[in-house]
Amino acid sequence: MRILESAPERYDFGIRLLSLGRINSVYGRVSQLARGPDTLDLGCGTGNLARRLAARGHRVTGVDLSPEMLDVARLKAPPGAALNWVQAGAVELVDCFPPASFDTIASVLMFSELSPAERAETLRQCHRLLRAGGQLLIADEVRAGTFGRRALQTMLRAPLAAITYALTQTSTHAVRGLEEEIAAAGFSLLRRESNRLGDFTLLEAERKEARDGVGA
Amino acid sequence: MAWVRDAFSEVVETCLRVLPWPTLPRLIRVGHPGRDAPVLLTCNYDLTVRRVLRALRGQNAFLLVAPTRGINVWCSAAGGMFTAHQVISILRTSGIEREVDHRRLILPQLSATGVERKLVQERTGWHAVFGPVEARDLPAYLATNHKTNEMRHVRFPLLRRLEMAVTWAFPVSAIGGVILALGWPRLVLPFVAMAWTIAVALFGFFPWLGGRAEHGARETPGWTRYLVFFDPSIRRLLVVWLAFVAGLCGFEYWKDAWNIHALIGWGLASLFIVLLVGMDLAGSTPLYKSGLHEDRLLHIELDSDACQGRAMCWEVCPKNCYVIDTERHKALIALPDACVQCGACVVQCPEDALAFVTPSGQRIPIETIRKYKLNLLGRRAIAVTPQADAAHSGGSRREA
Repeated sequence: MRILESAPERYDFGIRLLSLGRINSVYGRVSQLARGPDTLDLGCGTGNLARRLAARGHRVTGVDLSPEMLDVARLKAPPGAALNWVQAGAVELVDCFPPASFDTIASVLMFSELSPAERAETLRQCHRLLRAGGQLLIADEVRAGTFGRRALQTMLRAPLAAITYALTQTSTHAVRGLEEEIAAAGFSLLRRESNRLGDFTLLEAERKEARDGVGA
Repeated sequence: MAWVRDAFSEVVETCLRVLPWPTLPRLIRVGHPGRDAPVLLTCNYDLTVRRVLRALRGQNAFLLVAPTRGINVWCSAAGGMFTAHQVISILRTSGIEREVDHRRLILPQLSATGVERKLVQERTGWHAVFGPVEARDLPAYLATNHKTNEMRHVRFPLLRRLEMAVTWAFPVSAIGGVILALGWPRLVLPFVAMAWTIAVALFGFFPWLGGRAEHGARETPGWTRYLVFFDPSIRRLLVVWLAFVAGLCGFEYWKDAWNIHALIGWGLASLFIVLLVGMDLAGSTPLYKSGLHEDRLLHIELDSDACQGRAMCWEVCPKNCYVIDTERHKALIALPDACVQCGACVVQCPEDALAFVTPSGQRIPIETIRKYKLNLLGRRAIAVTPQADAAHSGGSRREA
């Protein structure tokens, strides 16, 4: 069925539509905060964040599950940029990279695609892949804090989500409990930036040293 | 009242089967599984999970529900959403490794189009085998540890056909009914009745409407490639439509009140419904190849020298196209015309001895099939077939 067809070249349009154009400022803010220089863009999609990071001088590795997304990312990559692409799932990072490979791991709109168990495992692997004091940056759609805001979030989002899905077969899902999950994986939260409605958050965290049973 | 909830979900999800119905990826204990209990895996399409659990009543086993975006086994495997990555994910996150002493995983056979067993084994140490196509065969398979030819074969029995009729009749009648209710309420009931009659007739009588699936012939005019959804011969749909129009005429004759305007109106409306209901026969039946136009009709080529007769093609083919010559240790394509182009044999062949060949003779690299999963939908086909302009087919499989 055509509606099930993944549509990488329409993905960017879909996400722009769903975020009412704000996604570009999110990519901009994440790339501004990223310290690098060895940076992993987890769930890189068509490489929007990875290209921005590379332009700032980072050595970027983009990881995505979808070979079609990576095809588009390769096509869009400027010649000579320090960009490397790897096809892997979020819980397969340890199969692809040795421990302490990166200074920064950044991820935009990826964690909300995962189940709670996948998020916990992915965060555990991120902890393993980051160097001491390494930086984790996650920007994602989250569940708004209060009932009123959640109701408003649902009302505002539902028609937009339906149109976006119909046009591009792209959607996102609000995640809850992300900050607690990040802390449980052995990170210290450094920064939280949210939009006015509280349904989109940018979190910056730092790798704590491994304790017994946490993040090791 | 779990059974009431179960029955309600079954009805709702069957009616809205065109939509994904995700359930939480997880590990489910069936009965009282011990450390040597079988480990099965399925998609996270809610309807499938509930049916597998029903089939496993009375068994002791573990069932892993993989994150396939709420799409059924065959569709998600052909669409690249049920691959080794989803299998690895649930193996790593479910805690199953702490529950059993063995590392043998039973996958649904129709996932063979998407799941590369080698990658699963390399990354997790689990050895995957392909179980039966249908969940109802699981008890017999688990009891004997043997898969019969029957268990390998995808069929399209009456019950499954009627399920597909509901899948199409419900959204067509619901959307059409709501639109008519806004301006022409008295037409709602006849319209809904017409949609259900046509859908039930098309799928119910499917085996008798033109024999096996028709595919585009060489002489099919080029513009038919734009009718990507339809069976190019369109004979099935015409038969159902003409039968319906004949029924309308019979009704008018019986009432002895000929109304030519009503007849033309309902005749056109029924043609529209026939086309809507028959829009995705390739996706709604296991009888067509993934593409319907000649440009997308691939055939399987076997490199006999490379083949060592390890029979993976025979093991995963849902149409029983292969036989194995056990003396010469070679596979043979006994029923090439039965192939529905699912690609499971190409993905699973350990010797890379099988490949798809396009009508113009171009061999599609095996790695391309493994990477993009078979499907050859839309733009993916552009990279692999020379008829780039023709590559806008839809053809995953909903009924699995």
